[in-house]
Amino acid sequence: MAFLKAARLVKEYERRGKSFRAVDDIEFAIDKGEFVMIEGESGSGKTTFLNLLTGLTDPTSGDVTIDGKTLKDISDKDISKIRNEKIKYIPQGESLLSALTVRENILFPFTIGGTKRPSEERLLEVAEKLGITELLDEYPSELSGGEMRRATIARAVINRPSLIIADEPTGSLDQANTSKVMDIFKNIAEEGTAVIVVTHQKETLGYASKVYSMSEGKLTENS
Amino acid sequence: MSGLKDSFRFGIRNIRKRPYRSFCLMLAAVIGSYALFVGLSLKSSLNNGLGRMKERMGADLMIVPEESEIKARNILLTGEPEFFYMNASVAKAAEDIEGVESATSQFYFTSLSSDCCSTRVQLIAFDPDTDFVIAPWIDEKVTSGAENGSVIIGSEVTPLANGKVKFFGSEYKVAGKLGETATGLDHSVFMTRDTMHDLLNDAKDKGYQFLNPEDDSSWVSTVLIRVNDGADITNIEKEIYKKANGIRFIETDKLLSDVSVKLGSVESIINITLTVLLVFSFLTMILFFSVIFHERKKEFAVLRILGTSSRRICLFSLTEGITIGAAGGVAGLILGVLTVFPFNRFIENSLDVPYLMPAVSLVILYGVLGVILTTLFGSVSSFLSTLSLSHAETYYTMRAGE
Repeated sequence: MAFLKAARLVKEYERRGKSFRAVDDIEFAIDKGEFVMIEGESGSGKTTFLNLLTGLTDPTSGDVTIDGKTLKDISDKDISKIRNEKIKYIPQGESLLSALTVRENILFPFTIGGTKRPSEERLLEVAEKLGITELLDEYPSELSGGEMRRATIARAVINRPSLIIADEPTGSLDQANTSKVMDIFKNIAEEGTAVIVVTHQKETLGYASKVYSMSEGKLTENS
Repeated sequence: MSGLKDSFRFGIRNIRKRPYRSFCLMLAAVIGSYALFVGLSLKSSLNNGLGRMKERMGADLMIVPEESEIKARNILLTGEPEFFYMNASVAKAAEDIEGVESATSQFYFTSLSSDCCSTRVQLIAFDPDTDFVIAPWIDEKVTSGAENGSVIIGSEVTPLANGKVKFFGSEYKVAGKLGETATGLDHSVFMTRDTMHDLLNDAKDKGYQFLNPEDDSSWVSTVLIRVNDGADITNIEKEIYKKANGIRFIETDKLLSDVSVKLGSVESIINITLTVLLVFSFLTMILFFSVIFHERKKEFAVLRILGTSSRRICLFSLTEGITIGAAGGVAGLILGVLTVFPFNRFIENSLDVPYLMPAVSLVILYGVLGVILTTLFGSVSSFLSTLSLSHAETYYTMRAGE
């Protein structure tokens, strides 16, 4: 059974009195160790789809099942626990907490979940790979866009989660850092984590084992 | 680590990281706590003052010389030293009138604020044989009793370092100190008429003559009357008028009623001001938290993404609300204490009504109440502001925050 499965997933919104489907009847599944990339134009429904997969948005119809648990059947507390322990979501834009240092931001999910923190060696290893070792004690306001992005990625990958979902993770990164990040995702997928990356950058599609296209709320697998 | 401990730490970090925002919120709490503490302390002091004044008045009726009513009121209400005299025969006029239970006379004069005297206070000579006004207090407070050559001091009169008081060049032993009355009598010094005679002689020697000491037994300043239960005071006044001329009456009930009316006005102003400030404090906190949390939508969205439940997010912001409310409450309380205690006398003089601070336990209770209230304001306003956000879909709050 797939680690994550979406069945007949629909999300409807209303705009100017008319309803439209941001996500239109999607069937999707990913297993541990798979590296899936989704491409598509802005407004095609990619972010809504990711929010549905992580339980941040409730679907109009259809189900999302993660590790055998259907999200609509479990409480907010349990969905939050799944997001905290099994899924790491890297949203678009800045998502570091401004009151915390980079180090505290990276370790914050463990504070929330009350789970065992990774070792200092693991923290430094990830920070080294992403080139943020010198920034660990800085506050987000002191970082550039690219540095913040790398810190966010460090927060996602540090505990080798079951699933990483990243929305435009390399959007504000240069070529060298983009390659670094994609290598990290590829490596972590090889270690058994399921990875879903949404991107505009066609040159990164080669890292994935499967590529999907999204258009007007519909998801199709590229051949 | 416990959730509460983490919530507290995260809340504190947020407060410290945004000092200006936290200061503004705290200011609203300071106003609430300050208003409650000062307002309740003032109200309590006024009611306490009136209550004590009623308890201590003793007499139902005062006879004073014509055109001296205001001076007599001043002595009773503000402690402003005054003197006035009428013939001692007025005291005789009050005797043998139906309805008069007892009558006693007093003699008022003043000390001076110069080298000769400790301080300028009201000096009151009373007749221990007929007195029913001073004696009950003395019995409560004085250990050695009122003797000739010694004085009893009001609660606000401070003796010299040697424990004595000095008037017109002579020092007098302080036989005791009275309890607070919340009246001008707290600023007075009491003595027997024999001691008064010595003082008047000393005053004359120093060049201050109130009246001829050789003749002082012929004069009194006031005659205090206690009437029988149910006696007709108006009729008693008429009967006394038949026997004495050039006098006026001050009815204690009327005096207290006048004070009550004035106190009622002051209390109304305090009530209105207190209500306005508390509502302002609460609404400001709701408004501030609402605006601030709206600006922090993205932060809440990130917390959701990282696996924080809606309940936990409420707990985070509740921690901020409680911390800010409590810290502001304590700061307001400190400010209140710094206002009420050092400016006690100033407030008393400004309000011109009996004023007596309540017991320390009650003052502490007001302080605690203020801190609890602003903590409640902080928690309720932060909770209400978060509630709407935590139910919003993260996708939208994330977008709105960008």
